Amino acid sequence: MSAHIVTNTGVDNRKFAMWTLIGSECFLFGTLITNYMINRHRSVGGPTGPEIFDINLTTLSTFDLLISSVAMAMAVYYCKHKKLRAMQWSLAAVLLFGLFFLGFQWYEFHHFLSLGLGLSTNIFGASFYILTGCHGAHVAVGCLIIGTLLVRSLIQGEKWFDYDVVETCGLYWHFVDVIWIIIFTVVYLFVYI
Amino acid sequence: MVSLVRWFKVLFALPFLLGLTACFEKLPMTTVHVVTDWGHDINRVYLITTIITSIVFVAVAVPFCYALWRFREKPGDNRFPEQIKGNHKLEILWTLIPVVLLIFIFLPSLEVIMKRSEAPPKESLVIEAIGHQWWWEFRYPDLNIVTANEMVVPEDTPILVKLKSADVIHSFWIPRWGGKMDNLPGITNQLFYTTPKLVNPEGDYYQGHCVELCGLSHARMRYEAKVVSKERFDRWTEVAMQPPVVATTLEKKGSDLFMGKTCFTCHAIAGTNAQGLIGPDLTNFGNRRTLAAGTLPNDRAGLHHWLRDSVDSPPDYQKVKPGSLMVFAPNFELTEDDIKALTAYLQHSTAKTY
Amino acid sequence: MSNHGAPSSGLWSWITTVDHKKIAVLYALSALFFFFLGGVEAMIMRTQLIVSNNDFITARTYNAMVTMHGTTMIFLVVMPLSAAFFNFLVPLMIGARDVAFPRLNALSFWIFLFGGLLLNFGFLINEAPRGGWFGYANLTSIQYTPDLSADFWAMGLQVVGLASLIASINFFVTILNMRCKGMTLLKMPMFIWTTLVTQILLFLSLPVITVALVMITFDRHFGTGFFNPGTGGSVVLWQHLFWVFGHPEVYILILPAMGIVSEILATFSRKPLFGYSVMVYSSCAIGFLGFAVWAHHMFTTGMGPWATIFFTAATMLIAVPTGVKIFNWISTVWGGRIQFTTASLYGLSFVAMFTLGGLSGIMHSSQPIDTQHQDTYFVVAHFHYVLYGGAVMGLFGGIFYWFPKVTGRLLHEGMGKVQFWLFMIGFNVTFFPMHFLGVQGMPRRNYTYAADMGWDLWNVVATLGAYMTAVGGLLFFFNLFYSLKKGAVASADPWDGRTLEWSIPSPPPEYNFGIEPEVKVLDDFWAQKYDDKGTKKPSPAAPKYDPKAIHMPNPSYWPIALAAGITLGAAGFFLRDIGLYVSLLGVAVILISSYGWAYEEA
Repeated sequence: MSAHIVTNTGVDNRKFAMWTLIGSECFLFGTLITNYMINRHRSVGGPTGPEIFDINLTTLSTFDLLISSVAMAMAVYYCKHKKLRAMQWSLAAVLLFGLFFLGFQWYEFHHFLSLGLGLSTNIFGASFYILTGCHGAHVAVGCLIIGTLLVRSLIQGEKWFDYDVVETCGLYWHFVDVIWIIIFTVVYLFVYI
Repeated sequence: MVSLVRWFKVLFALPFLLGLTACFEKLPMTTVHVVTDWGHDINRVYLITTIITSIVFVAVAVPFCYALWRFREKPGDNRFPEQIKGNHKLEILWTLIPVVLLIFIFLPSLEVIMKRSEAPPKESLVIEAIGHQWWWEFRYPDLNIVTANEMVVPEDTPILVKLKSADVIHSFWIPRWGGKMDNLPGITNQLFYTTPKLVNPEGDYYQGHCVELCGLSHARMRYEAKVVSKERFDRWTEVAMQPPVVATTLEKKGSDLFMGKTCFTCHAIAGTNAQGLIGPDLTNFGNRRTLAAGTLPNDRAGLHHWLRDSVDSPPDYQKVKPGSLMVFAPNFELTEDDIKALTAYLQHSTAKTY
Repeated sequence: MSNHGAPSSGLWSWITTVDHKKIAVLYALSALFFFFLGGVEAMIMRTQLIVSNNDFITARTYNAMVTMHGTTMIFLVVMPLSAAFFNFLVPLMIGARDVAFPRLNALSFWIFLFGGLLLNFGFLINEAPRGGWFGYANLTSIQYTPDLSADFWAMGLQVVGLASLIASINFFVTILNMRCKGMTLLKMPMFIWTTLVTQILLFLSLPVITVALVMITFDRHFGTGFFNPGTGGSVVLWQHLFWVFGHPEVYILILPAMGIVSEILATFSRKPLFGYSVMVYSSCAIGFLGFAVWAHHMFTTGMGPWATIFFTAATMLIAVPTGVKIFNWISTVWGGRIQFTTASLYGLSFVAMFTLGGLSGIMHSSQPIDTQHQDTYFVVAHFHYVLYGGAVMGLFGGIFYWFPKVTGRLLHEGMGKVQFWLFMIGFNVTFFPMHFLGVQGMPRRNYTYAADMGWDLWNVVATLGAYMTAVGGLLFFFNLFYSLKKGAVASADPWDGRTLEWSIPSPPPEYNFGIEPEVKVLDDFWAQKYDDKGTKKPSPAAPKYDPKAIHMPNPSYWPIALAAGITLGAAGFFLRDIGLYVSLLGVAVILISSYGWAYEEA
């Protein structure tokens, strides 16, 4: 397909496309984060961040996502060095940690709902949910992609060592993680400022 | 050759001559014949900008048209043009000259923007202009006056208009007084002017129009500013909120109808049982020249048209003001005599003398 | 699940094509269909406005016409017509065989087509969008627009935006990664440069309106209140979000046409584009500054003096690189041997009309003046001069210029010139008087106007101009269908062009170039034909290659399937009752198509 075509920049087409997508997504998350920062103090009634955030839990989930990025980096390394089993274990770890993150988020949303913060409760809630929900959706899609990579490598084995594809997926995963660091800082840590 | 030049002169001159005549016509909503300090400030910038853009237009049009004529391919022409790639000196020139010209437009604009950012005069008469779908509510908070669709003001007085909205975005604009400002729900904007001096002792009317798409009857949301002498304005403030004077039996019948049928639920008339806030305040209805926010003249025929249409229109299509809430159930009855009575009440009883 | 052995003609070949040239034709035909729709909407509006207090149509219908005319012309005509040119020309001009991602390319087209149909679906149930093409909150909130019209608008735009986003990534990668040997960035044709800047503007600005449309949809259906002042929201937030996208969008609309005009004027003056590198830098400057001027659409919202001053200054600043282009175009034709074909007439008219539109734009770049222009016919005049006199004229020039390359036949020149003059005169008769109406205070988006305003004369004139334009439009469609069958057969290089697409047959073979070209200079094809004095060089020997050895990507039905899934998912979002099932079906189709696609052999 677009694999192994000689390109002007030397960068594989799919990787280049992923970088471009990342540039676009910076503006997507930038808009959502800016909207959150504008709206977090404009609520009329209802609970707000400082009252309901559980910083311990969220720190744990942030750590979880960071570990998943380490696992992703390892998967890319093993792929480059053609170590099939190690790559598969690493991909499985990424998937596991990614699913854990989603689990944390599910629990958190549930918890906030029980505390009275829904989508339509106040503008803080609305901004919070669409920002973190959008990010969660990106993590979910990432898990789907990682899962597909893992299954494909399990079925096709050595025949399928596409470094460019794994590295490109790694790019996506790292980007999603970086965005989470920013969200974590702006949403959860800025509460203390 | 000569006829070609003449054609060009006609082609270019005609639109601009037409433009000049069009611009200087004294129409109700003209932006050229301004009468306030702010209007004049804007038009000074406008004049400078028009002159500069006209110069640029000529500087572009003349070489362009000349080139098209001079370098056109003629029959049998097979010259190979010199393949000029560029000329940095020229390019720098025509980058810098526009920058300089733009500075001549920017600086006067800056001056006006800074002037408008200053606080309005402390002694300004405060008027709240609240946009509704599709009428204008005017409140004078210091004078405890509420009226609609006609903003009465004294001449040569600084006024501060506070702009609000009861529903969607509207925009307040009296072109002959200056620029517009939006009425945003949840926010209070403001415009301030010094009202113009009186020209006609009876009173001067300046046309206003909503200028932000606000739904079906956006096109039918006009209003008027009525400028009167200071003494007359003071008299108006005394009588504006007085209850209607019911003098004849017809007017009495009209009053009973108004309070008996559904009118009072939506409209307010000071000093009566009608305290509805959904539709325009009708306390001063008799003094207004138009009704339904400038849609119809406020005479017998106009009011008849409005009332008849409101009753007869199907609920989803009020013909005079589409979307208006003034529609009634199919079995609602309003006879011609009823309309005569209501007309007498609304046009005579509520008319104040000042 | 490969598609080997699929037929190369017939309806199925068009549905499964991944060939950029065929996709270009699909985009162009769809855009022209929507141009006809948008034109009808315009004629209906102008007929309503021919006299004061007219009742040709209701207020509700008029508001739908004004909304859909704008939305259609911008998102379903100018953008896809530009995309048709990107599709056809980008690989050819850079000497490539196809774009970087051929199936993604097809996907973009089908998403656009389905999105365009979704946008117009409201007409079928009398709930066409009527909140303006800019959908200002809170008029579009559920409280003030309780029916589905605003949802068709929001979701339709969301889908159409996705098509542009995907395509922009595709073309961005293609231009930067797939140029032929020797084609450095500063040897690319000008059209490729303006296309490149346009793609960057697209993938950076589209996410912002994506967020805005999600917010308005959530406000309408999940009670989020982003634009509800009562709960802490702000209607101004919508305006900021919309215009941060909306302003780069207008440069997205004009830059491709500017690129086309650069190509056309150089060819028909028989000299190079004057000041190529400055034209490149000015395009980049326009793209960059385009992100810094959005709030000049909000000059009457009471932003405060500092924001107002900044945006006035930035808006004036962006006039500089734009003006440079005008002077460079004039210098291109100066000293040339100007040939007046239909294509060059369109290109030259672009220069004139865009100048006029730019000058009226400078007038309202000054906020004090804008407070008298905003929401009046003066603004309507301005943007029609730049979008119609500019973008549309430029694009039509492109149609006449490249039609022979696409189809192997020439559009009829006589009909073309008549149609050009009908367009040109009709356009000016309609829109020049709108400057007068604006100065005379006529507000825009008004379904009617009163008899005592004095606006009657120029409205009649404007409407008559519109009818003239309509005749021109019909003549164009006639020319199109006539020339497809009976047009004069075109050679590979009917205009004596300068760029690589003229070096291959008309129409080109599926693989474009038998052997990958190698370029040494800007306008390399011209340099191969002529030396500096204009002496014709001997034509190089025809390259020898085996067409059967060239492997092109296989056709695929996954793009259209995935596009259908995405549209179903979007549509189901707000349909009553069956909405959830429609969306779930859409998600299922998306998943199946994605996996089918991923596992398909290229």
